[in-house]
Amino acid sequence: MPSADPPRSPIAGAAAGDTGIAPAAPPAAGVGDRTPRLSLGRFWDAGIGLLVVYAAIVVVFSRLSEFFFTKNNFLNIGVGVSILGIVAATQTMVIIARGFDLSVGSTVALAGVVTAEILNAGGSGVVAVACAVGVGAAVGLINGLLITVVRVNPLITTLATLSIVRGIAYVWTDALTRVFPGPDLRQLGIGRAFWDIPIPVLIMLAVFVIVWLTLQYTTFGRSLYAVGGNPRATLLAGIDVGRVQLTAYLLSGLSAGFAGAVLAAQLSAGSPQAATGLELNVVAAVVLGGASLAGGRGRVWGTLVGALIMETLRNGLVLTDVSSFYQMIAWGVVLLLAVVIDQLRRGDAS
Amino acid sequence: MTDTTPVRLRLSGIAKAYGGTLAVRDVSLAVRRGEILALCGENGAGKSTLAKILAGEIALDSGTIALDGQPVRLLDPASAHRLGIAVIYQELNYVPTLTVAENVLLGRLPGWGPVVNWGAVRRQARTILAPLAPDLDPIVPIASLPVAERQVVEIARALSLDARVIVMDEPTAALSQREAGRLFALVRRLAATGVAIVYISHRLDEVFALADRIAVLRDGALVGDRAVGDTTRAEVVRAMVGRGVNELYPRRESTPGDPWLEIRGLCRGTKLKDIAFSVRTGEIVGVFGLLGSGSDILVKALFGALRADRGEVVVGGRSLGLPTPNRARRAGIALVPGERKEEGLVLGMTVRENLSLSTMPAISRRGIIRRRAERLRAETTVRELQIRTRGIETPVGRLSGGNQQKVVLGRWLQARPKVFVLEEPTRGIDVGAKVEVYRLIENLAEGGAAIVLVSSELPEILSMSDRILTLSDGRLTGEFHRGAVSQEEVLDSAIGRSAP
Repeated sequence: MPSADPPRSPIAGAAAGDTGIAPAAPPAAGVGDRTPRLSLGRFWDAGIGLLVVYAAIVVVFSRLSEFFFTKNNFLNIGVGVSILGIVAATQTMVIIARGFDLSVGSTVALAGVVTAEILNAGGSGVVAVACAVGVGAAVGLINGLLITVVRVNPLITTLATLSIVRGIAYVWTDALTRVFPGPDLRQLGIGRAFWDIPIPVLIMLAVFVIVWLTLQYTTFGRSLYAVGGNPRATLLAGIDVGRVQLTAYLLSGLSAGFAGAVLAAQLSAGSPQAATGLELNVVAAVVLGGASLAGGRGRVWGTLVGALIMETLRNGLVLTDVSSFYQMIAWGVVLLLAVVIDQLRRGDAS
Repeated sequence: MTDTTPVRLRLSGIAKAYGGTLAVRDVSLAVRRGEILALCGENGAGKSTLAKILAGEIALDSGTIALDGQPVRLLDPASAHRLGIAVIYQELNYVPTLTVAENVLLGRLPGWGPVVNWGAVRRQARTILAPLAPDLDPIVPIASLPVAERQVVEIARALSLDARVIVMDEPTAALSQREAGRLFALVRRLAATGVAIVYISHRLDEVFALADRIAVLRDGALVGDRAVGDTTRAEVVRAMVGRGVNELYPRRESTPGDPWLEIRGLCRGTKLKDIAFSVRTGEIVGVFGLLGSGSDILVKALFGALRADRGEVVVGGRSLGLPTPNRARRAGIALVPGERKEEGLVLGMTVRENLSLSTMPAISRRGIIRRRAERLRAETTVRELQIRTRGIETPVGRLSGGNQQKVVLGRWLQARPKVFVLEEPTRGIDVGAKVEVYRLIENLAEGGAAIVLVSSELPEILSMSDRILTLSDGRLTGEFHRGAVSQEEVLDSAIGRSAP
């Protein structure tokens, strides 16, 4: 049976503890109704598998490199995962609602370019971030309208906007990276808070908490699961399915725009080729985290661990001097693994 | 057929347990050549388990099966097939993207080696379909057909395989009266050639019309086995539910009030033509139409799930124009759709989540769900409707059909809507649950709700409705009042203008 209620499983608490924040343990209602039948899918659904995989990766790299298991390196991993995490958190909502948003990588790039251009034109940091978020939201709105009103397939729609948005970023900048000097956004990109925790990591965690609260406690969150689980039944229950999906795409674009501003602040530049291929890592992180591409299932803390697995793998392979070509292979394997597990679970559910 | 006719299929002491639950206990049955045995029982009585054992899909724990006196072992579906046992399931089994002909001949397409002879495919498919659906074009994609016709195709395919024993599990669940009639004729013809038929059904009307003998299962055990002539409906129902059900349909004095729901000039393409009627508070209006009459489209258009071209829906004097589902819900229209699993429930969600799907605004404040209120409402609904579930956190897919239907109905009750549109509310649920659903509908009407009951079961329409409308070819063709009309009159009216 697919689970519709994300943090019902231990992963929620465990993953949260892992990352330094401690949301209240969700009610364990419903667990007692499950038939105690062990299988790979259930094991994975419980979130144990994901943490075991992550622990294994950490142990292996700790043995291979003395630099790996250090505070500084974990803060690096945190910074590295922040952009992916921000985007993947909202992508989780889209995928739960049976959608798909491939345009996020391009949106991150365009938003970064917008940030740089506005700062270079003398705008303030706040205005720059607001415009980046606005551009992202606009892309999300266009995606959402095409998918829910014109009813174009989400894969095709966002593949098209992926290309268009990236193209706009290139045309606008003549394919050049726009550096900006302003100190305005320095804090946002490379600032540190308590315990040296980088600001982007805190931002990412805040996004995850917001998405988690939304999925868990709001009618919108419940509608996302319902739409993904059975769009027809949800429509016939009197819920505006189109609006729910549209909102999910809007939020996905919005968070991609925000992530673009954060990335630009990290780099002190807006680059039209930033975040190329990010969308695939985002989808991989979400699916790895336990969301089903068939919709109706997924939990945002799982997505966080999924994103951490992807980034930690990259970080570890760099530290152990593995060629970047092998990294590509490793990422591909992880992605395949995620999809195979999704498939196994679906087989389980039937 | 007489007592000396040789026994074709004999089950002796069949038992099957799932975990600790005995699904079938010590069942012994014999079906003679050419005999039609109806197997009745409530959901969960063990009928489908028995069918699956005969299909070779599940292994029995103990007992023996003999075919024409020879003991046989049904190890898997293939061995059942080889022995000549064909099982037609409730759940359909076809490739949606292929044509009707390809589906009918799947796995045995005529031709020369790998080259398919498409002419022969079409000819053979026509021959196979002829007895059940002579008008069906075999070269249209099966997915383009309504569900009922797909089921006809499915049954035709199964019947065309030479079989000694045919087991049918609720074959008429999605069929119109006319198609069911054709199916019965075919079943009788097959029986006449010596095939033994096990016919599993909830519908006592057809059981009495078709079967030679009726066997009743309850809680996995055989509780009755009589020739049709030696028993009565009441006796069968009593055996099925284990208690007396005096009346299947409750009787009530109806005192309708003012018109509350009004449909004006609703049109959609060639499927709905200028539909206009009104329903008063406390009134149950039954809408009866055969397959393809447009009754399913009327339901969806009324609720806004399908966009009508023209027309207007008025609730309590306020016009919705052409509604959307969201607006219809807020105007106080409740919909119980016909396809429970596809249209009614989010199967991956719990009973609680399914129950609050339509009342989320009421259990939330500024978009935040109030969990305690939600739980309280769900528990109240489960108690009031006597939904049999282990708890409100049970996945709704675990419930039996009748209880699932109560969840779909119960979803709306807390919102106290004034209009209920019920599409086939008792399709595929057992007698006990049916009675409960009927009571519930009566209670809603007594509470002042305006109810539109769309059903293809004539007895249901005739007994429940204050007023009956017949729909044919997208047009309302007749209006009858309770008690003043016979089954035949309604049927004639529904067929009446169906000619193009």
